[in-house]
Amino acid sequence: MIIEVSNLVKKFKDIAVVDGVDLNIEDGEIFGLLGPNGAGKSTTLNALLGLLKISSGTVKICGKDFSKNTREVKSMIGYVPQDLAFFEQLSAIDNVTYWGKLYGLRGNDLRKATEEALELTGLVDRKKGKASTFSGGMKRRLNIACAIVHKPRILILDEPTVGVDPQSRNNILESIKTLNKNGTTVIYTSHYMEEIEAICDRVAIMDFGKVIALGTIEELIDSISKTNKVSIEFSELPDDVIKVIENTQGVIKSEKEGNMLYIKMQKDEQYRLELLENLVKNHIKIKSFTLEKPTLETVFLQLTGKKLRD
Amino acid sequence: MGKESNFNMNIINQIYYTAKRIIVDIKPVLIKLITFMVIILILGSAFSEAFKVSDLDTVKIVYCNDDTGESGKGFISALTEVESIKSLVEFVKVSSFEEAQKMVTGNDAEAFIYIPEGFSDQAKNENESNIVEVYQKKHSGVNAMVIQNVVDSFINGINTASVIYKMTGTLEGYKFVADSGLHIEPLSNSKSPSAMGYYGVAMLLMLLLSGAEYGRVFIGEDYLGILGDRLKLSPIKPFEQYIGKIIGLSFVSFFNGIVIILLTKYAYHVDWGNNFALLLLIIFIFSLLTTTFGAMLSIVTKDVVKAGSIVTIATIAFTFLAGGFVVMDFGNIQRLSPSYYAKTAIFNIVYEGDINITYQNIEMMCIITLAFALISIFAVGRKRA
Repeated sequence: MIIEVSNLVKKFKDIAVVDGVDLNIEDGEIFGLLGPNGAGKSTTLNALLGLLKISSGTVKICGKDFSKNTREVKSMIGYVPQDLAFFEQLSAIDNVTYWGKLYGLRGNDLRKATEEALELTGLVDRKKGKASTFSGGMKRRLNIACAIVHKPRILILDEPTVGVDPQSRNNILESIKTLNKNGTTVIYTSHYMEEIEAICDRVAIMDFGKVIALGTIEELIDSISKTNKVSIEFSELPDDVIKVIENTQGVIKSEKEGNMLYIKMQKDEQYRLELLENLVKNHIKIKSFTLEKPTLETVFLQLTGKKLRD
Repeated sequence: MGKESNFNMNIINQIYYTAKRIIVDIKPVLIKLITFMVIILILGSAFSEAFKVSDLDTVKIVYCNDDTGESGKGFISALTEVESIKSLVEFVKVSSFEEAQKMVTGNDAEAFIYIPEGFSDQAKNENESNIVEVYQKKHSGVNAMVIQNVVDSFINGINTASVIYKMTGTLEGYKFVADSGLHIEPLSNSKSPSAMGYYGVAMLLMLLLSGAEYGRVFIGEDYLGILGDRLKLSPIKPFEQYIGKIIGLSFVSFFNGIVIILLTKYAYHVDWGNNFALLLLIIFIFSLLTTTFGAMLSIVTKDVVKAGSIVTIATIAFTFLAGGFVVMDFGNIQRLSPSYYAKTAIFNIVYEGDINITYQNIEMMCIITLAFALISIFAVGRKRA
């Protein structure tokens, strides 16, 4: 475990904003933190990072108690806050260099690290440009570049793609995957389900200060549903075709609507294969075959009763 | 890299990048400098007359000679012809005691000298004192001093003549020699400020006071903004961050000050004295003072906007209290203004006053700066992770 959070509690006056959170984050994984507004995600992150004094519980990073090994632990962390935190008056390269120097990089090491950070975030061509002239997406990327210049072991990103254009968003997500491939553990919070689904190995869903679900995306989806929905469009749909399909192993029920057949079936991939084999064996012509799986959004909605953007 | 080396580099980095952030956007800095140059020009020109060193106005003394003899006539004419006295006194002859009295009480004259009837006979009489009557208004100040000196001079002349007459039996050949006893010595230009010089200093200090804005904003972002969170997660120590930024910001103010000094010296011929090194030290320390003041306000109020309002009011108030807009003496209240100490220090080296006073005021500024820094440190409730 690279991060161990045990029974973390943070109270403001008498209100527990974070109420007994346990998180164990593996070295090298991308860990997503999901939750509606006010769930306690940012407070959890801030408490984990030591930006807030915790009411109780322990936080260990790389096996070290954060409160007792502050300086050593800090050098292992890169933090990308939700708000932009760099100097608008300076150029991209100056900004990244500044942060590199703060983390003790000097000379050639610094130059190399700065270039790599700017390259990874797609800002090499604009490195001498003043940050204040950048677009929103570029600023977000610079925000990340400043956090990764010292090649942290752990990178924490708090909603890094808010207000960003799709191209920049893709760039950011690709950068995170690359960093992760190079060994960086990532903690990622976002409002955008598709981002979490796209990059995270495991996800914790928070609500009212507690972790209400934790696991891989597959595990979370499986936890709420063991079935899939298949939609098949046929050229013709006589009753004998329906019988063939309903007799296939794994099919729970079907519903006809014109030439469309909606099938509820067991999740196992083997059953879907059998269904397809049956269709081929019986020379049943189909126009389209669509698998609808529950998404993380479905899971989220079911667990919290809220849409993510509420 | 050793710990000490890291410490130094962290501070140097803070100094460098902090100063760079302001200087890369040079337009606002230039506008500020031009504005202050214009203000100095306006104030220096508008108040130029008030700073001119002028001669004393003449004092009007009326005289009346009721003596019918030669002695009275002789003395009066001798007194009124003394050059050093004539430069200070305008003598007006009146025909009667009453007229003279009327002029003095009516404020048409400061004093009158009355030589009574029989004065010449007194002079000849060994056993009688010579009486000359002198009447003057009760007042203080330079006029009283002039009159007193003239009167003393006059009396000395009479006494001398009396002795001579008693010894020789005649005043023939006696020349009444008197001196006002006063020597007018106008202050030379290098020892008193011209209007341009005075407002050059006053506005230089106001410019440096406005450097509190730098402290307010740049230190405020560390303690009250998201940038501060990022910095808290970096290995830099809080005091390295604070010291480096304060010095960096002070350097910017300091260089602004140097520009004003050089521009006013060559464009407005303001006299900045001969001790340039000490002058630079004063303005650097004052820059540190104002920067720590602005920083302290942000940290203590925990509100950068509120701190901004206080800085604005303080800049005007401190400048006013130190006589920066109008030359006024507020007594001990002016010591509430940090500008007072800087102004006093500067004036004592530029206008060749007491250099010890300069050192004392530099010391006072250092103490104030340290106080602001200590208040900031105590007010910071930074959580150590």
